[in-house]
Amino acid sequence: MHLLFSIRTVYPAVIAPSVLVVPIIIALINRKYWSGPQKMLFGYLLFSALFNCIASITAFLHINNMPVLHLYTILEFCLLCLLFIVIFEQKAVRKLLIYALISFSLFAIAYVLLTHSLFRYNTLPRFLSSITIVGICIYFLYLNFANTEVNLSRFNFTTVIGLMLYFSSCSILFGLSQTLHNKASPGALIFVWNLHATIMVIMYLIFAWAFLRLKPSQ
Amino acid sequence: MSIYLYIILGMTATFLLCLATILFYIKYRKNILKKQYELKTAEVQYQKNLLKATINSQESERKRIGMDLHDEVGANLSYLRLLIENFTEKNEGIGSVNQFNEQCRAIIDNIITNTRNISHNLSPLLNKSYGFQDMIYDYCDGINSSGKIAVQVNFDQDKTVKFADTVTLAIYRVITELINNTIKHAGAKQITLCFSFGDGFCTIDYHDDGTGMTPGHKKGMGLQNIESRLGMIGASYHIADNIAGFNLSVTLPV
Repeated sequence: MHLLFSIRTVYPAVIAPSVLVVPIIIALINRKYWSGPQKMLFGYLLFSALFNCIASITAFLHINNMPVLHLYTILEFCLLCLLFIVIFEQKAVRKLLIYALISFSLFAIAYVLLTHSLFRYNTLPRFLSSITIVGICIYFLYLNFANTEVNLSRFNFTTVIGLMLYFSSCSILFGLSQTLHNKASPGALIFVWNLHATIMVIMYLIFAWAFLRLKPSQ
Repeated sequence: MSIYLYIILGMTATFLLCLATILFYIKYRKNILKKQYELKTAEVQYQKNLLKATINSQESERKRIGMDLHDEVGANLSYLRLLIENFTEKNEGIGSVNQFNEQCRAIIDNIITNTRNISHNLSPLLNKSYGFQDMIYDYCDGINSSGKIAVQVNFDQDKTVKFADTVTLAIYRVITELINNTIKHAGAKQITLCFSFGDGFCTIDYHDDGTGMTPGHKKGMGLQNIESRLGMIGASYHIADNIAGFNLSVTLPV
């Protein structure tokens, strides 16, 4: 039973995070074309790789890695905000993103301290962060939708699509993860996290595609 | 239904909805960009047509003035010359009349020559027996006779070159503009003009030994006119900046 469980978790815990290697390698191959957004996204990928490794190791050692998730949520939001600060050209939007970055970090820390939930899912901050990121992605698409004169950067557009697909699909999971953990059977739990891992793989592959299509003009 | 089923359905539905929205977004943007491109293409085409109409009307006006000069002024001058000759024959022996007659004839001959030159310059196609090669040789002979600059013309075939009237006129204008530019700006001593003919195309190589054009040089009115005229006849051109002097190569379909 224990072996079966390990085999079933190998996809979300090992295989899916390993896909991160693909965009990282492609990004390194095309590093001569990098500019601000590419550097930020590469930083995000490295950060994700590091935290995925930590999460996988702790999971195999049967250590509760919820504190890592709390830290990951804050840092991930900060990194993605920085990525959007580089992508957006409007000063007001950049300022707003800095405020969002600071206020969310403070909120996530306060949430852990006030609810004593360091070893439980951080449902509310994770849900809020993903909804905020989806909102920013929609705003980016709206800006470029309204203004057809703007020469849309293919890299930025692809990156935003990847983020939007992942965070919009997984928001519901992040918001209900604690409830799901308490009520669902282990098999159902693994099925849901497998679905999450698949969407994550799609996001990484979209990032890889964005790096693959980098050109000197971008 | 269990919560996990709701989550799975919710995730899947959101994913598909998001994907559909993105695909719609991409499709819509592509359509907008395509329409913008079509509009711009139509605008460029309209500008081209306008330019073509302007050049054509300019040429027909030149032709009309040239014909008037040639037929009206030239004929009347010839008639005047005849009258003076007739008058001289009747008053032969009067020294002052002979002298007046000689002076008048010299002046009238000079005016007739100038009028003919002006009318030919205005519209080189006035004389239908006058081929493209003759036009070029004639113009270059005129430049050579000034003694300030030497123009060497080479045709790689002896056969008579036949272009459509619009093409003939456009190339003639381009060449006169190029030579004019060389005289005015290049400080050159030698101009070489080569016409070579391939299978379905003609290449014109223009070279002078002057100061040449600096890279990134802003196009003047002359060069813009050349570009317009070449564009009108479907010719392409290339300015080589790796050789001394000014070098322009034109390729046109024949």
